[in-house]
Amino acid sequence: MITNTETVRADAGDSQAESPAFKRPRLRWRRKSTLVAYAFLAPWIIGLVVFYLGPVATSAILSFTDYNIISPAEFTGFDNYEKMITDGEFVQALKVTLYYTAFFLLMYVVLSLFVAMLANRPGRGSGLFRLIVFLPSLIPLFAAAVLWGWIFNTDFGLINYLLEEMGLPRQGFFQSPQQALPLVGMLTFWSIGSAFLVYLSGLQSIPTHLYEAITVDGASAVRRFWHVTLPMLSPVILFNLIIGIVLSFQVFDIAWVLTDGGPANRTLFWVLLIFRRAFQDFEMGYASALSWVLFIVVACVTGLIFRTSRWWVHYEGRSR
Amino acid sequence: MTALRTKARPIPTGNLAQSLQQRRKILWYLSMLFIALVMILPVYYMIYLAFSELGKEFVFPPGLIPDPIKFENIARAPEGTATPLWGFAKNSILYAGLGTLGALVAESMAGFALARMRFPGRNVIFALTVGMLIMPFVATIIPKFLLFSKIGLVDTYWALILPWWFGGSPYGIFLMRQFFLTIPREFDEAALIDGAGPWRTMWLVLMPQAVPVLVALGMLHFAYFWNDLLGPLVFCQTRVCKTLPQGILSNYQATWDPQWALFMMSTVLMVLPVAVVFVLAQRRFKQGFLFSGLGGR
Repeated sequence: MITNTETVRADAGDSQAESPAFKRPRLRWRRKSTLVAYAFLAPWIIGLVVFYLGPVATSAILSFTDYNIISPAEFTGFDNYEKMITDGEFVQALKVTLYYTAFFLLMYVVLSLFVAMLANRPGRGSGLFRLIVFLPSLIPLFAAAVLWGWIFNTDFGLINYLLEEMGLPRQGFFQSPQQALPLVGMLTFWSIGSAFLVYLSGLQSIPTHLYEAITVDGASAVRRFWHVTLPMLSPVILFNLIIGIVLSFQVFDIAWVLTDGGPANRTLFWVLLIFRRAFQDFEMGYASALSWVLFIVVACVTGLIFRTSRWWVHYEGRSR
Repeated sequence: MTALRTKARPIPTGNLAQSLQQRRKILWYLSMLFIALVMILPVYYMIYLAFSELGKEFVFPPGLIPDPIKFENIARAPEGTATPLWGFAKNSILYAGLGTLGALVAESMAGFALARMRFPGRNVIFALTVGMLIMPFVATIIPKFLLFSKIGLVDTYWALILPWWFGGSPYGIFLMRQFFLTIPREFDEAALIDGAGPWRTMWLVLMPQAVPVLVALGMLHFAYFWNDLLGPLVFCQTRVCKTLPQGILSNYQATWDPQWALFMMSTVLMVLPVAVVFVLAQRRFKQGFLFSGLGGR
């Protein structure tokens, strides 16, 4: 394999079209390529239609109806979308979700990169460190929510006990309208495990000779980070950024188990509102409209990021 | 490499370079220690509660370790307070194991096609994939449930596993595509000259390099399936295919006294196998690194 790579490298300087050994297999590959590509994609295309597009289309149709499961759906045009503008709870959910997203991205995209870089440096204890960072992400959410609920409990919680011991005033935490949302946002630090893993494997795929080359040139650690790590990692950063946005807009579990949207709707996340409208008020039509607007907002934000990505994402083996 | 680095640095030599290196190392250890302590806190508290005596979980002031340490909780927790957890565990292993395997194969295939092949419709399929990535799950779950109940898959393993065999997740496809894009195309061309078609190029040339990503993605999938509550809750309402999270929750909702110590012990026992798999898997990160990209030359 190694020899072949060298050969191609040597060949690349010459005109590729003149080399018969190069030309023949390449043509054969390309002729069948459409068929072959669709064979590779066949499972996903079936899954895409049956498990994604179908259900999505169904809920799109539902968003223009008044549907409560029991009686048949009734077409109401854009009523559901007009209702949203005047729905105070929807405006609140929008604000809460955006606030949370800012917190979450800071943890998931920025802080996790620095944690991954700490873990990537070979040395005693880095294996254990990786395990410790990933461990909290392995705790099932229902258990984690119960746990945080106890730790920050206003009356019996560990933190309030410690605050009192130190002579500081007790805090409301999840019961305080000012503290609940920032606290939920900060707790996301313990769920950076997946972003951390993705960064780590990205860091390990950076060829060492790049670092060797820039070190020989006498570059400092900051310059190594800026000129090798960041550009080589930029596809992975783009990935984590998009996933981070998607995850944070869909946050649900922690609010569902821990705060139930309160106090005073301060942790009323968008998806929690959808869930309430769908499964508590059985307004399936309105809930479908809410999820469609959520989808459109997330689509616009991620679309914008993809647009800008050509300015800051660097691909080594980009296919043209 | 360290030797090379110190040798190549032009100005600080001798003692100065050494003390710089030393200081950086201490800083590195200190920041690792701090983050590790913060990260371990909820895990430690969970284990603390798991070994506490029933009814004495929340006494003040709390000691550094539970007093007395109740080792018999380990044996008591799997028996459950209402239903033993073993059956749920078997279902979870099936769901997480088969789901992860199917998802990894399907995601690699789709990611490879999207990163490495040129064909009409590629951009449409990629846009749709990213589009599905950002679709809120609540919008698809009701129609999906209606579909599965129509074809009789509700309350079977298949309702949980089957969707993952058909392409896995958009997340995985996106990740594999991004990864394949970082591998220089020289590898494909070399395989091409050796007469390998796309199938063999993918499995024999690109996949060995993808081991770190596959291990990471496999871990994420496994942990997700293992902890998934919503999926089983919607698609498996009978004992036949209920998974561990459902089992643990239903056990402790069945009695008026949640028995926190046993609840937490069950969760600890549930997390343990995944943590072990992670320890074993993370060694592969380094091995995969040797073969990855052109860095292994």
